[in-house]
Amino acid sequence: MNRFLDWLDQRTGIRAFTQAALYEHIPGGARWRYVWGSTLSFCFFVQVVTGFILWAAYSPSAQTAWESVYYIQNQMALGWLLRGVHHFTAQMMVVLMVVHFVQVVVDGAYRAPREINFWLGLILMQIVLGLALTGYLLPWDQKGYWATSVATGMISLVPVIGGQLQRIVVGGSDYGHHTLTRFFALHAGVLPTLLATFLTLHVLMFRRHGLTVRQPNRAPDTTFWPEQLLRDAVACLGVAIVVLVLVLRNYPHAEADAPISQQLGAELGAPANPAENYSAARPETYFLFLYQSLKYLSPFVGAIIVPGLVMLSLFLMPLLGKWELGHRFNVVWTFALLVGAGILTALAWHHDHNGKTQDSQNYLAAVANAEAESRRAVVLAGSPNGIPVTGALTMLRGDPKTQGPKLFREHCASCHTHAPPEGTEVDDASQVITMDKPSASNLWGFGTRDWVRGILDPKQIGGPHYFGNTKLKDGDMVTWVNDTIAKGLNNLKGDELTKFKATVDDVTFALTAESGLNAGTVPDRDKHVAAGRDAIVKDFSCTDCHKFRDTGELGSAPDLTGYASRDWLLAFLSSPADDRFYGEKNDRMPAFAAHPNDPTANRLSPQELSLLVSWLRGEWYEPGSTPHK
Amino acid sequence: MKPPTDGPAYPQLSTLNSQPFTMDGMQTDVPSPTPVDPKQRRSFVVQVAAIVTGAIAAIFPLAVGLGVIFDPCRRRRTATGGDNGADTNGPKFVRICPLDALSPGGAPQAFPVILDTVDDAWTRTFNQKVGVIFLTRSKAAGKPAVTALNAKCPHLGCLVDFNRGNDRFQCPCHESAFAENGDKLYGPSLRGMDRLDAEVRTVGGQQEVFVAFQKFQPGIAKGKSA
Repeated sequence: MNRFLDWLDQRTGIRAFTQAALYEHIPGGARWRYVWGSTLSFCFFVQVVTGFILWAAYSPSAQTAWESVYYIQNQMALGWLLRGVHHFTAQMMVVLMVVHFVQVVVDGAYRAPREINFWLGLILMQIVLGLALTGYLLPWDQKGYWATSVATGMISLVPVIGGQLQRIVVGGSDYGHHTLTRFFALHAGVLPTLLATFLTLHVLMFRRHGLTVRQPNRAPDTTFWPEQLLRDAVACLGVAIVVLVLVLRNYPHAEADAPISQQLGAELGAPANPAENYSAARPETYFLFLYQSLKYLSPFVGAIIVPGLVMLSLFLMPLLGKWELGHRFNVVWTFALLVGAGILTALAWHHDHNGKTQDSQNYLAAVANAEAESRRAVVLAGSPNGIPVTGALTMLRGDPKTQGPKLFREHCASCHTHAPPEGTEVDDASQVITMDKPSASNLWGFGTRDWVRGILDPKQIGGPHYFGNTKLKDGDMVTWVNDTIAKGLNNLKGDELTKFKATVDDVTFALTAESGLNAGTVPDRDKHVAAGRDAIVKDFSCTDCHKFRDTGELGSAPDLTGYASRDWLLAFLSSPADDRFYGEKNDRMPAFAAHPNDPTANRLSPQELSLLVSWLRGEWYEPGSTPHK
Repeated sequence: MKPPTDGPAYPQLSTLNSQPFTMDGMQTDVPSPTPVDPKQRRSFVVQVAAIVTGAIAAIFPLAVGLGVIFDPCRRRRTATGGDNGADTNGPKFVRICPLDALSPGGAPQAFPVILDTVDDAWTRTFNQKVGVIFLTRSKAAGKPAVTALNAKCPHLGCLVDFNRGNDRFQCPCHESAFAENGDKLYGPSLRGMDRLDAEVRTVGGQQEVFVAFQKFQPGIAKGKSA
């Protein structure tokens, strides 16, 4: 073995090199306070290796970024673990930077002859923050997109070159493909190279001047190997364990039926949507103090001047540190900055999470919505149709469950509500739309048996869920239900009452057979439907006003043929005042597609109408179950 | 030309090759070259040439890439959304909605701005939503007046919501608030919401609202087109 080492040493000089590297002199003994630089190098090492592996699966374009990250997180073996480690090590790196900085300042290790090394360290800090910023955008999810576009928006505030600089960073005037490619080139290429270069210089400078030892008599002198290296290794392992704990923090997972990949590791928001309001946008935790300061200071002052001055004060520390008083000031100033940043962060956190103020409730609701949408995006991505070539956003835009509530809020919610009966548990709050004083019906479950039962129920038809707030509250239908049905229920007894109720029930079967909804698993359903159809024509003479299949005329009441079916709903929304529907009795409902020959002139496009109708009918993809609310 | 035979004036190449190359350094038994005249200017020229040539070689990879790096600066935003290098004559009017979608004197309503074609580097998409605006229709009799506001907060670019409860626009990011007509009420924004030109045109017998959609630079006191 020795002969081999001799041979190697003759050719490479390796013995001298390892001697110099491992036997660095440590006066006063190995200490834990010296480990922080090594932990930072370790974090960089972790990021490079996990980064390279992620690089082998990630694709930076507006159609493939979210999609490839979705795939890593949810479909690749332990992808959530790899990505989670990369994400949380980045967070740890920022924390460790602060610890390392504080240790250096407190121990005076920034003073002569170590000024240049200190400045190299500050440059390294900027590079690490740049890596954090560029990395946040790469998944191209709503959170990363909006938080980063606020940050890049501030670039234009730089004097003189701001506008052009912003264009270069963003790759144009708007976010798009080139923003991703540029950010990725920075994140995976330029910044890591700069970091490695400056880190090498930093370590070389450090080795030139040696440790700054505050207590040289604390313990016997020793060398880096093995005692300090052991401490460094333990600290690095500690960092790795903390990262793993953060990755696994939701274990055992709260929801038994959601896959493990959606609950552990780093979060993945819904695909970025530039034209959609995203009220839950926040930067990463370590930037929250900057975010909070922007609520008080003007953008130019808060984003350019103040950070610039703070950075300048850090650069000036070695000069001030020449005097003992200057050194003390530097220590106090460091802690003041930390405390200040901490207070701002706590303020930001409290404002968003207190749950009591309107702002907080809005924020928490927005976060819940965002989480629901991201879960939905993952469900759809795993559906038989999968992610189309045009990307996940197209997939979401064609999903009735996601688009329905949005369209409803935009076009219907000024009058209608869409809310389940009181006390019903709803797993997705975004599907529920309520208001204080609706002026039209509640469309939850429109066309299903429960809904039809309600319209034939004297206790409900005049109420707020049906006609109660419309001009038809004293109309023919309400009157009829209150007369005929109410009379039957109140005056009949025994067998006759049972038969009457059964007939009403049969009518609901017949009507839901028209919509095709809520088929249910009732025995002898066909019999009930047939009996109901009979009842509509004969027993209750609905066809005196309504057209139903081959009986009756259009014009005095909505057509019951195909009631609440897809075609019926499409036609109804297009033109509710048509003779086929409410005619002149139409209260205030607008015609959403009154121009069949000129779709661009309509209030709702054909695709929007289709999505809205599918949503109202509960027809959307759900894994495993038949599509129904 | 035959090499000089009366003793070597310069070290012969063959002489050099036959010397053993030891670890100790340069050969010592090769006659040193004839001392050159102290031609300082020539040495200086060599040094400058070395620096300049080296610099050109070093800058070469960056130089050939400058075009790509600065490419976004030479492109101009166009009305078709995105950049395609052509100059624009100003923002184009885009159809938003039928006039009767707005109730006179009603609360501001949000509408998407959809452009026929949107270019994003190599991708062209059609009928793409590129932004959100708020439209308000005044109650004033006579010619119906429509106000259009860009829904992007002029502070730092988040999209604002309209709160019907207290009749104001509120930004969920840094808590700026604006009145129904876009004027700033409170918060860190340096200006009110940005107004857009809105027109009512008759198309195919129906009145439609058209808006000249454009984006504005966030974070400054005076509205400037972005």
